[in-house]
Amino acid sequence: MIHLLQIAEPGQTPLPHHDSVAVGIDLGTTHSVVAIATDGKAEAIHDPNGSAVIPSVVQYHGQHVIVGHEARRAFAEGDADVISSIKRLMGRGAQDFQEIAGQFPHAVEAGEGMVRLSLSNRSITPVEVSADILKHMRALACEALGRDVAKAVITVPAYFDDAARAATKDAAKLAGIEVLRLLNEPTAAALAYGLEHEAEGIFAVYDLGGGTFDISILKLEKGIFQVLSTAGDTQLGGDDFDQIIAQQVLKSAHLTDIHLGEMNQLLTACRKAKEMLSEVEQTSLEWGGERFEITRENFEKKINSLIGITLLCAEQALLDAGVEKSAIKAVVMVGGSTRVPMVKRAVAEWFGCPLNDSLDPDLVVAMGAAIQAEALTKGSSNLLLDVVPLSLGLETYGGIIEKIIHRNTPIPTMVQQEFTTYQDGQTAIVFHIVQGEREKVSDCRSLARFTLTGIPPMVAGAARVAVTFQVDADGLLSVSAKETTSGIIAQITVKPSYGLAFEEIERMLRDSMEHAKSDILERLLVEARVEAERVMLELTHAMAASPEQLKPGEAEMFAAQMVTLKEAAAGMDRERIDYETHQLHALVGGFAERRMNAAITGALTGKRVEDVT
Amino acid sequence: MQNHFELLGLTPGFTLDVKALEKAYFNTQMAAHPDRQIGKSEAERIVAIERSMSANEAYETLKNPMTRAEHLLALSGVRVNSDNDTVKPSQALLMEIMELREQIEESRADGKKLLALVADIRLAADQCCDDLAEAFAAGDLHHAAERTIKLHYLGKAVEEAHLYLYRVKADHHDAHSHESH
Repeated sequence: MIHLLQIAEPGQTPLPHHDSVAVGIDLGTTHSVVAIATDGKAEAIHDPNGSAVIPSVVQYHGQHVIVGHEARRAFAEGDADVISSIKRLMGRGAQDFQEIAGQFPHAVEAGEGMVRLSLSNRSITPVEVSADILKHMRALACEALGRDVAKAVITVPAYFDDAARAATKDAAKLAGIEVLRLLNEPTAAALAYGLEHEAEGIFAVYDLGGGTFDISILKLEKGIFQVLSTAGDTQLGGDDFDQIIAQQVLKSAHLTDIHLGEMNQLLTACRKAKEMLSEVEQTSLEWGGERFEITRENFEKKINSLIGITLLCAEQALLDAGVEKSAIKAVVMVGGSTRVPMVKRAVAEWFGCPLNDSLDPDLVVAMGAAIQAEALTKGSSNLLLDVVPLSLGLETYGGIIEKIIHRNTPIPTMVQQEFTTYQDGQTAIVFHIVQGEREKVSDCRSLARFTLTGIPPMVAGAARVAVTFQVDADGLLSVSAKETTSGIIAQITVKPSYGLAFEEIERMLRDSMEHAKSDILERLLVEARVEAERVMLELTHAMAASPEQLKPGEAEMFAAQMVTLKEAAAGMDRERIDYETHQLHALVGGFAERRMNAAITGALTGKRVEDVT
Repeated sequence: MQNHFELLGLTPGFTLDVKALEKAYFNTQMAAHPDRQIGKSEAERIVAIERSMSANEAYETLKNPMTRAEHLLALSGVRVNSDNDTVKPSQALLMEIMELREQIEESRADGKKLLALVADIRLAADQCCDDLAEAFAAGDLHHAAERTIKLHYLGKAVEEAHLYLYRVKADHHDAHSHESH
């Protein structure tokens, strides 16, 4: 769908956010943190019990949803309707099912599109579970600040692919949060760290969280935070350390197949033992009435290979950044798993430079996000320049990928490439969008497929199809294709094929509102009317400002549709209002694009901005 | 076509002060980046985002000597390393590169040899850059085109060597982790 006038970035309103409070939320695998910044100083928000680090654990108890410490206690007691580590499933679909099924401590169904979790009395998607965590964090902030919090910068692992980013944004939407920006976790940490220490030079951020690992190389200089490269593994973190201890326990207890609730109890005990081993050389854990001895030495032997993987990623990142190891001034340590002594030792030894863990590794990401949230609402003298973590491309003949945007390209970015037809009289082209570094489609992540239809029949190779890949500042991809000899346009904003359909999000939004017992029908009706008004207002303004961009007859056509839409908006039928709004959008597409092109051309040829609006 | 030098306010030329490039890029992004458009009108915003994207492309192109040379050539209507190139690689160069890639292929499992090859290629690339600076200064576009093509192939060879190096390390790491289990 072509958005009217295509001007503001998605999720942004063109007006400053006057009366709103914006927070930063670190939506973590094991913990989440919400923070707020004032004048560039960030502070984590504490719950009434004085805790800022909230377990990302959700208990579904009948109609009740419980998030945080209480849910984690239930998890430790073996309640099977408690979900933890949901972040590992964000953006994951049927193609990942096999891999997930063995690893994830919950019953997972392949589902349609994205995976689903089956609980005793419902089936739920990862997006909904994440939304419940975000709602809880939002409520926490509202309560602590005494005012509504509707906007946030939400952090994601730098190495999150497009599907996982889109899923995170959907979760925020479902939680009623306007996402000011999806911010990469290591970048957020670098922002908090850099401002705290007035650091300049080249730094590495080593971020080992509960479920994901990121390494970013950044250059800090006079308020600029430039990400040079990023690498990582979205399926590696402290959870794996717990798993390693659990496997050890199961082995010595001669158990192979245990009940889900029992496994969750065991994992909880293992996590505690792991934390103990950061302080002492030896500890024990009790499980199923037995006591098991765990030594730090043995634990370190087992996690050695996982740490090795993180250092391979670090090497890749340095290579991509074109930076020698010796140029790194310090390594900023982020994420709870960097408390493990062996992780510290291995990283310090490998980089051969000082580590910096002066800021709480559990809070630093949320603090950076809060600083950016303030910057995006009130302005700031700092600037973050981030990159695309994984290459984006199209499937070409024979299942080979043609990379369109290479990894570590700075964002926002736009790249156009030309393709053509390979058969005489071919009237449609299917585009398969993939993400990843491997050369074959089957080794990469499939993001979406779309079809450009209506190409006039020509001989093979005569059509000129320009495909445009655009990645916005959130790291989200949109792709459009256009046959340039005829001007046929097919455009989509990439929604991962195993992600949520728009209708499904709307349904969830409705469901969540029903749970909140608000008068959802009325609210949706009001929203539809407001949207209709907004579209008509913008169009009227645009027509008055750029009459030269109107084709003969267009003004009359738009006016007629606006009359229809006004009639619809006066009624009570929301679907009709939406339909007529969409109709207007569709009609206006060509005009909007001509106007946008004129605005750009005008600006680039040095005209004053007022002249082209 | 877009002149990346002009966009960033730089004087076109192969010899480029990296610090000056960076400064020009940062200054442009300070004004144009989407994060810095708070309170701006729609029109200003869209123009800025467009400019931010162009600045990223310009910076990426100019920062790398090979793409910088390609861009300079393209500004003069000379196309290399593309489907519709106007100067094609010489037979001698193709032979040279083929031999180099054979050497890499043969050393695929030997980390030390690979590192030595990478060092050699880097030296050859530095030589290419020196030649390019001279050729562009003398206005010898044909020579510049030849050197740009060579730089392109050397870059591909380094990439390949690094891929093997990465595999050698990953294999070593795997073997190591099996030991510890």
